[in-house]
Amino acid sequence: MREGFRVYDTDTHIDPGADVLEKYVDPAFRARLDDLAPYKAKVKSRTVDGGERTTYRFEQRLYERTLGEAEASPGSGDGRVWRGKRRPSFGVIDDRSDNRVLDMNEEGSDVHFLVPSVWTSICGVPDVSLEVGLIRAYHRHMEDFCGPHPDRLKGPIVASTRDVASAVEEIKRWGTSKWAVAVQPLLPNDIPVDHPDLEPIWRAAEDHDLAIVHHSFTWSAPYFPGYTEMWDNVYLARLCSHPWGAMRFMAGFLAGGILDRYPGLRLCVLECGFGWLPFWVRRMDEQVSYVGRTAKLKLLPSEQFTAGRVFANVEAHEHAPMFDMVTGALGDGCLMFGSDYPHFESWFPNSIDKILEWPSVTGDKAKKLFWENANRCFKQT
Amino acid sequence: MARDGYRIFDSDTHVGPDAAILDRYLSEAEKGRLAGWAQYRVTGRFGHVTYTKGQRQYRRRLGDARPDEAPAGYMAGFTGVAREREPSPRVDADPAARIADMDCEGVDVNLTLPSGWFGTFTAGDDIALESAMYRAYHRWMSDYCGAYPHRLGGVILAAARDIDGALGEIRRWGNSRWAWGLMVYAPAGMPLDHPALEPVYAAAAEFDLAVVLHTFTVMPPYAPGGHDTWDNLWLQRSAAHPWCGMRNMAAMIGSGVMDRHLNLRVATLEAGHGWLPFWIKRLDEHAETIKAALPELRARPSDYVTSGRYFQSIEIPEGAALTNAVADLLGDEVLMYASDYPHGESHFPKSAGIVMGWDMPETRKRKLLWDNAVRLYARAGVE
Repeated sequence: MREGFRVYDTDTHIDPGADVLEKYVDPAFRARLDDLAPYKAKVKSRTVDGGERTTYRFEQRLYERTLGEAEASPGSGDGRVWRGKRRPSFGVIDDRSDNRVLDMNEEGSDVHFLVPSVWTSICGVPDVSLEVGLIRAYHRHMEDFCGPHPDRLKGPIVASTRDVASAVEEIKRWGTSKWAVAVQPLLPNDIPVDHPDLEPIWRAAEDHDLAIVHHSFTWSAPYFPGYTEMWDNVYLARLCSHPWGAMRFMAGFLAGGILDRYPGLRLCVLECGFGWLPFWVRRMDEQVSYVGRTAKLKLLPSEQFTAGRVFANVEAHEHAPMFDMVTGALGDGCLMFGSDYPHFESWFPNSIDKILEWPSVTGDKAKKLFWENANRCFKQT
Repeated sequence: MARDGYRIFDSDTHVGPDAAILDRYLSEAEKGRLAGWAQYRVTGRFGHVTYTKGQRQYRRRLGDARPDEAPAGYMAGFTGVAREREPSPRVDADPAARIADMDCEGVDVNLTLPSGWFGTFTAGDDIALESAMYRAYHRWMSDYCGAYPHRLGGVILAAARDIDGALGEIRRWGNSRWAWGLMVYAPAGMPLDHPALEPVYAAAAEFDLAVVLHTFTVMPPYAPGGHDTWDNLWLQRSAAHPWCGMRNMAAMIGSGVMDRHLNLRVATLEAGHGWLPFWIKRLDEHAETIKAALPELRARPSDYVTSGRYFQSIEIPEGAALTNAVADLLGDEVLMYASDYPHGESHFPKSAGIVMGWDMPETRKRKLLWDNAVRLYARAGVE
């Protein structure tokens, strides 16, 4: 609770290291760990302890040209600046859910929705069986990680779109577990979200009353649209990656008629900004009439929003006037709180306070933003 | 003229002289070079001759597993706005026909940009031909606009692969009556912030030409993400213009070009406008969190947008509420009226009337319909 409001943080991250994931692989998959060994990378920990971690990193696209310069400067890095007052506690992205809950208590967050990152870039590796093996391990890890705090830690079931049968199997296995409140399809760049082969995933998600979640990535697969056309500059890549990935996913999902066919499904896009929503909704509607080439739709994209089945989380840097503009255009039933904890752009431990500074975030509006909309999206009946 | 007391400056219209018209402005040697492009020569249903090297096609309907393999032409499936009457079929050949349409709609001034096919020359290896086509276009624009100098203007086309040639054309036409802006045609992969283009921007500033950013759906210079829209024209059409506008204006502002040329004005056209408040917040945020990726700027990116030197044309379907919301957040000095005439998304002959009917403060409406475009296209010489 923070200032009397229950808080559901819909955009937080978990990135279990290679050593953590390896504990949870199928016995039969253990022999395949040798195939994964080349992808192990030592990275600097971002938590209070510092030090090194070992993670699976299957590829990483670097953008190393400074704007205004002719050539890239290899090794220049992106120089990201940490926003928060302090670093998150030890092990919060690996296996220390106890420390994570302490951080949540400090910030005033009741529930974290944990989005997996980094290892999910395995969807860029040609061997699909490696992807499926890690996904299965990850789900077992989530069961253990979230288990001691069943009302506070939630997350998505990760669905391979290259092995739909295994994705459906995983949804059936975990779909009624306490931690699983959504399905996150790992969608390589060349698989359209509206492709008919993916229908069993949406059907299984609806059967288990799970929301569909999209989260974009900048440096690794699954890539965002236009990732090869960022002129090798990370400022441009970081600007574009998350919103464009969400725009494409949302457009394909809505105009592919998926919500029409599965009336129990909900869609949410996370960490992708929200000020673009009114514009994009208008544009999607408009282009339906100009261009066609969509599925036959019962409801226009804008009507799916007003039906209360599409959600996005706010970003602190977009500030209060944008919140007012978006809620004015789309109503107060679609925006949710999200902090990006424990990543760089989180203002931990003051992410909630940043939003509470917005003048219009009071009363019922605040309740919807901090709790009710997320609770409706991830309702887990 | 004015309509109901409002003067109207359409900041984004198109003019598409076909190859048969431009042929008259080419030398024999240049015609010879163009003959090498015969395999890309297409005659449209109204007899317009264009070249389509580099044209992309998007053939899959959403929800289908595979693309539609039936033969399809340019922008197949695109219907555009249902209109009560079409623009004159002679609008690209006869400026009097355009003026008649403008009078019909009540529009005072058109800024004209070349139509989509003209980017084709960035897709070939013949840079000399590309520059020759731009020179021909400029000569033709001088004739086309010359009969109505206070009502018609356009942009100088700058070939990014031929900087000397581009500078020569800016110097040749930079003081001419019709040249109000400059548009860079860069080949795929070349950043608009590349230092090689610095002399072009310097020349634009020197000649008081607005730098305009504009893209097309299926033709080069391509919008980012054109290979990643799942082979679907609806998605490509939805995304191409906004994404290209976002990337290109971010690169321009983020590279400091507006610091180096203090009178340079920049405009993003036909890319939508409802995303701009969101985008500049993002520009500011990442200019702080990823500082190393851009040079030191004198101001926040958003400050350039609201400085009076950045402009963006509206998309009419975004409507009054969103337009007012953008102006409430950014001020009244940024947005400009635009119709996309005579292309498919134009609501001709009702575009101007739709916007005039919007509920907004009169001062805001006047700036939207006239004042802001007059400031951007200062060389139009209208007040």
